[in-house]
Amino acid sequence: MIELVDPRGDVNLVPAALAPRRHAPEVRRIAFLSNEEEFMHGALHFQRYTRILQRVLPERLGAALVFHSEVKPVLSRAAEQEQIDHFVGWDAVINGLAK
Amino acid sequence: MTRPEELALPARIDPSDWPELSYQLGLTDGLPTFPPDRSVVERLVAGSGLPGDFVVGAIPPRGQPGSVRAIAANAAMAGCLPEHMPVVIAALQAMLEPIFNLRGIVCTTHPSWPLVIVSGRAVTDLQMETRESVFNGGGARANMAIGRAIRLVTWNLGGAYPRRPVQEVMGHPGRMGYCIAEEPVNTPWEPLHVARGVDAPSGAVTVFGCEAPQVVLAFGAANLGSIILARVADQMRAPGNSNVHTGGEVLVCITPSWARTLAEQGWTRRSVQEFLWERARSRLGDIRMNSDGSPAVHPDDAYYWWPDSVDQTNPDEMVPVATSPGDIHLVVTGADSLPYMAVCPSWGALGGFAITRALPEHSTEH
Repeated sequence: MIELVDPRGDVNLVPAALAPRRHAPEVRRIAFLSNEEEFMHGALHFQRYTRILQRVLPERLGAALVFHSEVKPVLSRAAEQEQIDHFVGWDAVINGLAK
Repeated sequence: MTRPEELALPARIDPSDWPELSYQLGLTDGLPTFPPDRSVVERLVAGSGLPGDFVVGAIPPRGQPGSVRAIAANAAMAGCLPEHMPVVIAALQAMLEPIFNLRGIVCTTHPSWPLVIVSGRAVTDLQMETRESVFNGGGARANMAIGRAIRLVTWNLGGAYPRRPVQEVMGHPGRMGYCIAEEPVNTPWEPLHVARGVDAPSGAVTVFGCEAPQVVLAFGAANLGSIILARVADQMRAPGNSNVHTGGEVLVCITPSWARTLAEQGWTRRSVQEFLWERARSRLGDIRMNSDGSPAVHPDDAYYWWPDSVDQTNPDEMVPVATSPGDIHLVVTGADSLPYMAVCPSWGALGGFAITRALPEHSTEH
């Protein structure tokens, strides 16, 4: 018999909790966090994608919605806490890129 | 639903049960491993010269604390010896510097992975291989075990599993283990770490996030530096290479025999870097195009990562693949035979920048 050391380290650490998920009818404030470089004259990109969502989502949800959009300063890095704080209190946050 | 890697690891097992257990618990990426036997792990901890509970850093993407003991458990699975541990630890410390952006390198869609490059006296101390088949270990235990340990640390402590959250589209063979050594003796030039301004009597580790090597042959070319280096530059500026669009840094490997030939013709590391930087350029209008094929030169389309010296409104601007000559990293390695070279494109300006750390004095002697 051999004694093992867990290569995952202390697996009893409590993982960070996911933000609470709201039911669609409750969603009124939607924010976008872009994960890509922004080109005003480029092809498909997140800004254009979010404009489409801003048109489609109120139709789907049947209510007026409030939108907020930001771009990460460096697309390859996780957003800094200061920027994440801007999204506290929003009902839903969509983070992504579009190609 | 409980994922395999969330299942508890038994405290004690029969060693013959390890292979199946490691797969059932998702503790390996598919390759077989050695069991993280506590007696072996403690010898590796001792080899690191650090306390077992010393935390090197949070290993992304999960952010699990990377204690020396947990790192040693992964190194044991990889087949490391105690004298390999200072290299593993130094490499991880370098990768965890914020500017390296290890989280990004691990999770990106791009096929980059941290290449560990050992240079100086440690190469001899650890009996690392620098000759034939260097990019797949050259048959040396240290090359393979060190690279493999880094991989398993990111797998088991970082939780870097495909799709959750790793989004790499095609994959990279180097993700199984990516470690090379620079030829320490039969080279005309100073070691990589010295060229990068790091004084390291015991040797050093440089990490660099990059793609798999693209080999450049000298067929049909005169044995003249400017001719063959121009061929290397052509490889560096291939339109599909990441650096053509995102700049940053590039790795170029040169065989010892070819490095000596270059040196006999008066080339230094610096002059090779400068030559490649001048030649490895692309016309802006040929690499950034609108959907109708016209050059994408509107000021609002400008890449923020290209230096100010690049006029992004001029379609005839020649854009370098690296930010500066010093961002083309030369490593003398490979078989001491033919004038082969290899280009490893990188993640460009988005991360994985080369970082060099000196190894502690006498740490790799055994």
